[in-house]
Amino acid sequence: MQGLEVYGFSDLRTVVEFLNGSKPYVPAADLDIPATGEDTASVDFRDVTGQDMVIDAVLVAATGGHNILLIGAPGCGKSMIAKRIPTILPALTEEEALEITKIYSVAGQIKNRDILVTSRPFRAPHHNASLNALIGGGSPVIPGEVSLANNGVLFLDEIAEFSRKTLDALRQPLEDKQVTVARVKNSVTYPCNFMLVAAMNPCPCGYYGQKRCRCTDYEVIKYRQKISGPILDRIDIQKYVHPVDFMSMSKKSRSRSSAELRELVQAARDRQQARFAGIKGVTCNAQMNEAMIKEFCVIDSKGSRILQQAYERFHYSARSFNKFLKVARTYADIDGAGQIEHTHILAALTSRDMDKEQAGMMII
Amino acid sequence: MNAYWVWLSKLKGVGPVSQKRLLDTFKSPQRIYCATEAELSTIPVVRPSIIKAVIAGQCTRLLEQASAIVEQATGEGIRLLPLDDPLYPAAAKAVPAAPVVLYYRGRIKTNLPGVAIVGSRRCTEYGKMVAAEAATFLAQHGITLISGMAKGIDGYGQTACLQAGGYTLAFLAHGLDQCYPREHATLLERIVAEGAALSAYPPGVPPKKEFFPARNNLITAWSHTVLIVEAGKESGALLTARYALANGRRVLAVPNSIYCPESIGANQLIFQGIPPYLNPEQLLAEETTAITASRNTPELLQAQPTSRPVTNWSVQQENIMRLLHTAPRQVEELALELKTDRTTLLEDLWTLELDGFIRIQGSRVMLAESTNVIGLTTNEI
Repeated sequence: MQGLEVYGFSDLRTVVEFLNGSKPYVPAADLDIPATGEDTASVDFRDVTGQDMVIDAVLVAATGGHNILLIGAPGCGKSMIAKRIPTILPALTEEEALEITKIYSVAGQIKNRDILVTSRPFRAPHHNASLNALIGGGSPVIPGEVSLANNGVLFLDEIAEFSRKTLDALRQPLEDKQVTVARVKNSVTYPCNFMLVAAMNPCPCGYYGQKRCRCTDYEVIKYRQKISGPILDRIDIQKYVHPVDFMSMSKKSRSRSSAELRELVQAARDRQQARFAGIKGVTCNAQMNEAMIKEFCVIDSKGSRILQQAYERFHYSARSFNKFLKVARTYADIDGAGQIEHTHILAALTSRDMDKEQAGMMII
Repeated sequence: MNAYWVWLSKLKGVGPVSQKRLLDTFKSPQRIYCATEAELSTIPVVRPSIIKAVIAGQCTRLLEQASAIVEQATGEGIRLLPLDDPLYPAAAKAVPAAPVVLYYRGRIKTNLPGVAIVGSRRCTEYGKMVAAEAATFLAQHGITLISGMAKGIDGYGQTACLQAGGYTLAFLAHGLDQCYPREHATLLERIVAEGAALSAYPPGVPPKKEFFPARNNLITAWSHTVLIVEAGKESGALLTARYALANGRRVLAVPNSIYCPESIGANQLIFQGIPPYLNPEQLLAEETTAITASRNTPELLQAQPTSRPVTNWSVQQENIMRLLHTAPRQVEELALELKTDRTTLLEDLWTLELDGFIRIQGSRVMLAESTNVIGLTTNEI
């Protein structure tokens, strides 16, 4: 721990001696546990091949603090990708590590009692989880999954299967980054600054867009509406994940490792922190409000023409406009570009797959 | 008055054919209700068992039930269409199994009979496209679209019709106070607002498997032409085709790949001599088709969005299209095969998608369904 010197004494006499300064003592061996140390995680993005587009989206999400929804059939690799997201998030600061350790300690989930938690948490509650398990509850109040995912990733697999009530309860924690559980005698506030990674099937059968899918557009829409609008609204990136044909892909392409990706994330995060230096409570692009978007997401005429074309062709909602700008800003930050260029806009336009499909649906 | 019609339709053991025979003699259902056994026996074509059933039904309890149904229907904005209503089309009345009273919500126009578009619930993208195109054509020509508002082809056809500002009737196999399938609730409301939903069943009756064949028959009764878009083996759509032929309606079947399970029935119909459906012009009534055939009508074809001229592609874009023509691909695969980086590839893909030639779903790129229609051969692919 930084700024902390630890001395060991065997009896009180030596303590008195030390306090009087009558005898010099050397601090115990440096207790600088690698709080920010290299992750001991056993997973790495190098294992994921042929999914460059998805990894790109994940990289952008991790960089800009955007919540992300992965869409795809069962077994296409959604969970595999989600599990690796903590490995590319910036290294933990000591403060963050302490915070995580405190929460895990309160929850009684510290495995190794002597040292700090040194890796970002990855929490994947089952869709059957109760509201209290997710938000926190009980007496005394135990932190829920949202708090256990603090400074890490909360992964909601099969998000369409979560009950509406449970999902709606996530709105406030997502917004405030902290959750308060009130009891008659007291109330407890836990931090819950997590990145939301959700996964779902594109349609009831899971193969939407492929030849074998026979779901009607009305069924698909009804299925997707199970996720309430306010939650969907807080997810900037929606990305399809398709299973990879290993015969054709695995040999030809090389994936970037988590360490490489993390460097990109860290560099782009530094740029964001510099940008938002004077603004309280904003550290990454996802948190920009409308005024900030106006100020920081200036696009050139080519970029705005592309956006306009996209709106005419795919009938995006006005709401998604700001999301595209925020995501484009993150793409530019990864590139180290001061201005958003048209290529960043093009890349950002690939980040809302589900919205795009809406335009092609034959529904009333 | 309407209560007597409902009473007649609810007589146990007396079907629509007998009901209409009784009406031929007695002219009104009220008279049938009051008829004595001696009077009923004078009709030669009605069997004694039917007469017995009518006598058994001549009780106030059954009539009260009928009045209650009328009251409930009125309360829910459901109107009755008895056989003697001028809005009941003559062609539909002529079908023996046509019910003596129908329930409806919405507005029934007089441009009937119309054209029915029916098909399988689990349809393909191809079927969806054909149904939507045909329905849009009908809407543009002011022809009534008749269908069953089922999932799949029926729903797509009626949705496309309404989107094109057309008029459509939906025949349902349950009481009109409900909606089946449930996800079509908004579609049903639009149909009621701009067309009408009809049913042979009073409010409160849930959909039942055995109701659907009769509903399909009703669809053919109100149509002069029935278009079968996709029909699997032993499907409801195939049954509709059989009813249509029995009722003397023109049937057209949409041809499709012989390997497509959704079209086994439709292809079989063509094999049996049903004319294949090749373009929407065929949906115009016979005599009108003769007129339009003698006239040159290229302007209609030009109105179709699919006949857009092929734009000039760059070499890269042509290569993309050539690759996609064989099979859908991942963006990563395309980048490898075309030896290009993803950023420039994305720009080409974007232009192609914007022009409607391809569809990008996540990292998967495929040809847009309509691209198969426009002759890619013109560009030597």
